[in-house]
Amino acid sequence: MRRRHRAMHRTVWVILAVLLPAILIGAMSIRRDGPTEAPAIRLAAPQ
Amino acid sequence: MSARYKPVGWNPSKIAYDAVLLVVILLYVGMFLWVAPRFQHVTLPLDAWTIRIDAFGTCAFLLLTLLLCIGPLARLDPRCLPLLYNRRHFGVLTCGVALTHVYVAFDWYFTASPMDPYVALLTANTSFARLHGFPFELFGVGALLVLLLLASTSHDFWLAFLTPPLWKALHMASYAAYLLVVLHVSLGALQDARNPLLAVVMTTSMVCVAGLHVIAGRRERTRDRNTASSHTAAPWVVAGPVDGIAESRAIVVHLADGEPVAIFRHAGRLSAVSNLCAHQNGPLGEGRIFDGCITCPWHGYQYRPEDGCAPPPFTERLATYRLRIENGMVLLDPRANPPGNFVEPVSVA
Repeated sequence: MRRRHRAMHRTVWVILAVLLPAILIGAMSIRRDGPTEAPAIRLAAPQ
Repeated sequence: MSARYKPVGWNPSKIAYDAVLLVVILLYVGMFLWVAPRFQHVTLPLDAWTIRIDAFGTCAFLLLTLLLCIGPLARLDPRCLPLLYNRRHFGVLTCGVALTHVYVAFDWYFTASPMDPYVALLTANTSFARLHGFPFELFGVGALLVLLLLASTSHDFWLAFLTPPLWKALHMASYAAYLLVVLHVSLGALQDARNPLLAVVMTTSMVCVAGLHVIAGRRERTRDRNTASSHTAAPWVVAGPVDGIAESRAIVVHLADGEPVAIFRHAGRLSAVSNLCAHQNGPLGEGRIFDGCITCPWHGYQYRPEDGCAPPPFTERLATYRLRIENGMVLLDPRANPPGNFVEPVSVA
């Protein structure tokens, strides 16, 4: 019985070391700037 | 080590470990609930529910980060091994905090919805085609399901039932849970965060978790290559000089088929056993001999060097190997004996 999981650990974490920062950078890039508390839709004033 | 049926073996170390962990969690959540309201936006105060969701959510994320750092830290520095000793309790507590986060969020999320909350969770947001507004909750659900699976199979019964290789493979799903949590936070809380603190915390977490795993993996690969190159021709392989083995310690030899063997020196005699602990495949060769028994550095399982058997009433057994010494060099027979087979230790003198 060999410690196959060691090689799998290494492969998984090399992939994750690239994937995780990519997710974070991607998520930061799609953030909306400006005040988030502003309503997304402005209703017209009643006539 | 364990007997045939393996109840949870509580001892003072485990109780202290869990107590410290519980106190840290309570302090973190308590401080969060107490401090956060004092830093609210004046014109848009956070409601109590949001603060509770954030408190338990960030706590679960930090616990998962620490949990995933324990393995590589223990491999890089033996002083961190005590953290590994009770890691499963750590994991179960992490799952408990994540469940509390979900409970608090769920209570708040669909309060005003006429739909069943479970149905609403899965059907209310179907914006799968765009990243902004993506139903990030589903990543959280996925992570929670993985954590629940791991927590429910963390007992020794499941370890024995599934066998260590399968159990270890199953519990590598914690990496998938971390990935899902990162997606959950990135597309959820991070999109609405008004200050950079959350992004800083996430970056630090990723650097620590991924960096430590990559560094530990590289170090192990280098060590494996070095040990593999230390032996030569069959049928007996040269393990190294006798003087290279310290008293009560071992060297590890990798056979041609990749099987690791630990050669221990104890009381002036040498014995060889499989390097894989019968409990969780722990690296026995990185442990030492206590009270005449090889002691696994991970969870303290013990085996007699001469026959690879755990002392009574425990039942674990390891494969043993024959040794001989020629011209100050240790030679190892690569053909494994059946687990528990007695082999006369070789005298160094």
